[in-house]
Amino acid sequence: MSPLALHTLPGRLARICVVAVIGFLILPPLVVTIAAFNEKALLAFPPERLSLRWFTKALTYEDFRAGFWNGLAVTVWASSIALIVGAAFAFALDRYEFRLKRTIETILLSSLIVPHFTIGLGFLIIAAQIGMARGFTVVVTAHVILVLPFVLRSVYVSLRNFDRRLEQAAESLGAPPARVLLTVTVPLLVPGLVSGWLLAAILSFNEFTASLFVTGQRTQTLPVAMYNYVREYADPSMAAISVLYIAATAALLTFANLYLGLGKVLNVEQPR
Amino acid sequence: MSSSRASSPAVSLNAVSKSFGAIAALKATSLDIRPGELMTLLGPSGCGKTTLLNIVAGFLSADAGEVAIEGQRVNDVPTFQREIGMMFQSYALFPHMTVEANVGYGLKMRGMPRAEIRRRVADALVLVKLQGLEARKPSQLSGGQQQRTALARALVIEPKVLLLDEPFSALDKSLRGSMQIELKDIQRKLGIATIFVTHDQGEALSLSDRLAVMSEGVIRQVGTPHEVYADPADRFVASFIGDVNVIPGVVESLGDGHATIRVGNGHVGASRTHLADAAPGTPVDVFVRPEQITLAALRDGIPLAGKVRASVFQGGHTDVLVDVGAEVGAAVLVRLAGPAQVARWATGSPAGLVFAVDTVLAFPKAA
Repeated sequence: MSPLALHTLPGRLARICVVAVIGFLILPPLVVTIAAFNEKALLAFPPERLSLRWFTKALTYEDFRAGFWNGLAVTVWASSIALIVGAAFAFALDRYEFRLKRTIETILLSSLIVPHFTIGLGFLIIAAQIGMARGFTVVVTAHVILVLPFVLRSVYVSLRNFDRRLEQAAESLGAPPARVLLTVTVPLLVPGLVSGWLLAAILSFNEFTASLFVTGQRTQTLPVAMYNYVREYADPSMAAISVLYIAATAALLTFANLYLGLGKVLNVEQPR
Repeated sequence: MSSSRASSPAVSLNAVSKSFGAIAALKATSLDIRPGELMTLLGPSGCGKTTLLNIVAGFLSADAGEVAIEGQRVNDVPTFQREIGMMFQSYALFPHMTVEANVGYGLKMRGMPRAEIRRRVADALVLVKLQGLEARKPSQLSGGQQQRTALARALVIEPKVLLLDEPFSALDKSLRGSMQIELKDIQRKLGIATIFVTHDQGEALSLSDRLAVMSEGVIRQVGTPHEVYADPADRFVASFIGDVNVIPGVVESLGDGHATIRVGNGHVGASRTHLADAAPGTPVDVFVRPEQITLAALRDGIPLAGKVRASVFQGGHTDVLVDVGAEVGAAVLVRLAGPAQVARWATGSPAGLVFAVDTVLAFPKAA
């Protein structure tokens, strides 16, 4: 018999817990999605009549459009720079012994501990001190710092799981170190690199707190534009954008899953 | 130099040593591998055999001593310029490449034209009986096929020396035997000098032209399988290779080339090679292999008498355990040919042990 029969009291409690957790995971996006189709200019639930007008509004509102393209540019630049820097550091941490190795690792991972607003504020002060405008350079740099630990971790884990004997085999077959790297190491690390990049991209595109400090009217990213909108209006276009967000992220992950396998992208499944 | 090339060993190690921190993995070891010979490095894990292989491959550098391949010092030559072929325990096939790309990898690195690579890869795949699987990925191959791919990949570059690191340990037992015969066949056909690392003494005895028995970073003995089995240099080699009975005894008398050892209620004649000038009364251990003892009915002149504790039918032979008295301790294992022996040497029946004198060895007690 099952060790925890469902009709006993602990069994029932366990069942309630599971249902509650799953419910709380599903409920917010569900409520928001339904609210997005409300015809009235109210964030109300449940809606009385359905309409697509807020999707049209969200897609045509100038601040959102600019914010989307700003955010996308920042995301692509920040994730790519973080990937290159993070991969280089992960490689060094995995392969070499050097002085202050642990200290450097701690510093690289520190933005996990430091609150985002601290990083944003810090960049704001530094930029003001050196007389730098609140341009894209500052925004991208702040985002690189924010996503670096995630990229570093992701690549580091792939390197840890990498079978060094494959490199030795390539070397024994006459491949000089640079060709070993290009023909064996890098191709096999691609899933780890892609997963690191995707994680960084999703985090960067959604980042709000630090962005609020370092962006200006010209450089504001989508989350910042949404915040500025909510301060003045409370119509369902917020909800509509949320739905578009979810759809876009789901599409991205589905794409990644199709071409690379979700297990590999999320680094839970080891390539043989 | 070039005139001495032909006669120089394929691989030559001269007083090579290697330490990891405070641990001496290899102590001033010298060994020559002759052209075309299959040399096995045999020993328990941690004996230094893999360290030695990695030094020849160039994955590790020696702390001291000299490594030469075909007469040329290679201490400072990186792995990719050593022209070695290596087969790894895990095979280390490139998982993102097909069988054909795996096997052709070394040729590609040598800048060979594509058509030539195709032709040589095809030949190598015929050699290891893998034709038709060119387009497969390693994950789509069985263990045996992966091993053949790894072998083809190492051989196709026509290396100066082939290095095999426990190549059979990942195969199941039924496949192992046939792969061993095939490997030996290919190695002999190509006449390629080979260093084979294993901890499996059966494998070592059946495949090697010569073998080096290692323990604790030292080569204990180098010889043909027969030499090492029949005339082990020390206690370690004697007990590591093959089954052996170790029976405690005391030197009774030393003659010309022979010694008489008192064991329990009887005595055994042994070769005195390893006893030097041991005085009568010195405690020793008698080493005797189970197939070098026969059982006979008790009668006068039987040197050692005992009582059968158990008879175990093993198919081709029968293992009989004989108690020879409390002072000896462990029972003596006797291996008799033929299946009919179980009934004859039933548990409890008295039995006399007869030793083939020149196969019995005695070593001084371990210090």
